[in-house]
Amino acid sequence: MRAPVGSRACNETLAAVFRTMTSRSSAATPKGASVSHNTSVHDRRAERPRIDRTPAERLDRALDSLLNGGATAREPELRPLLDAADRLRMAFAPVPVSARFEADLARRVVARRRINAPDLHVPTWLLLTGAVSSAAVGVGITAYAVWRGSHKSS
Amino acid sequence: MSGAKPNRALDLPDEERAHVSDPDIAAVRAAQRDPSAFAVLYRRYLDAVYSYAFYQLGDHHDAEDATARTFMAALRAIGSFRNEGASFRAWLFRIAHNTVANAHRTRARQRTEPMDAMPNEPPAPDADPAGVALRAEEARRIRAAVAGLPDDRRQVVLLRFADGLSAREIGDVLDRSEGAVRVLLHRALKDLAGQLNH
Repeated sequence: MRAPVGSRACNETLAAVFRTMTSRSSAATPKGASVSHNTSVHDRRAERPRIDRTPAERLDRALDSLLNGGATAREPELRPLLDAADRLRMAFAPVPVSARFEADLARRVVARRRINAPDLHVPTWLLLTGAVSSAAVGVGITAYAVWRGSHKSS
Repeated sequence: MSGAKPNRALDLPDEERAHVSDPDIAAVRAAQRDPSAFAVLYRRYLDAVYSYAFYQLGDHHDAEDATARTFMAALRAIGSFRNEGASFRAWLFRIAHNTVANAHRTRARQRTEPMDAMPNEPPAPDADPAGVALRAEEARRIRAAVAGLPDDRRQVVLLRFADGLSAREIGDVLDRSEGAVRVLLHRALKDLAGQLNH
């Protein structure tokens, strides 16, 4: 019979399972040997034997090579897919941009930068601008109050 | 804002992905310091973003509009770009992807259809006219086959072949894991290989 979730018996069972798992993992690592944390996921992936890779991963690597002008994979099962990929590459060649559009957009980009400088969406600039404007308003009001007070008393 | 989110379920943890070198990072840092340096990134990616928009929308005017919106949005948000997850290229294409999605929604509301035919490469002066026509026909057939794919596979194919993004970058753009992108690409190519060989 299963112990109800949250009961003491259930918790003890879970603790026993956890102890077994941790003792197994510590047995797998010799005492005194530290596990290197320098090995990146990339390295571990690179160490995986070629046969372990999924077809999608093998295809992706072959496509990287194809699109970078390198040698294509020799695996027969990838051949028709790489042929299709090569035809896709040809069919989706870069579309030329009109010179007029390129120049117009470049002008807009430059104009936008002039309007935006200094950038108020950068928090530092926003805080600085806020502080300076508040100080200016404060000084203005104080100066007016002083002037008004001296004017009345005279 | 349509900027890329740095934390997503990708195959590598963020702290490791930050070490993956981004070839644009020097230009991005320069653009964050001096706005005029954004011109370098603009020139570097104008053709790619325009091609992406054109192949998605099928219309030169809409593609120009989407490209302009993409660069203006990128320019507004460049200060907030952090090299913590996605590369600059993936970040920019995510903006382009969102801009194109908005254009599709607007088009659906207005019930307008694209006006332009898909482009043909300008033939070389000494090219054989029959060969040029054959290649153009083949390209049209392939693009029609891609247009018939489910949306997620079509997106992956376009980003991979029209723009040369890696599986990881496509994952950043579409908010998918690198593994999921690879599987989508594998299935798409299987479909296309079957269709194109008939």
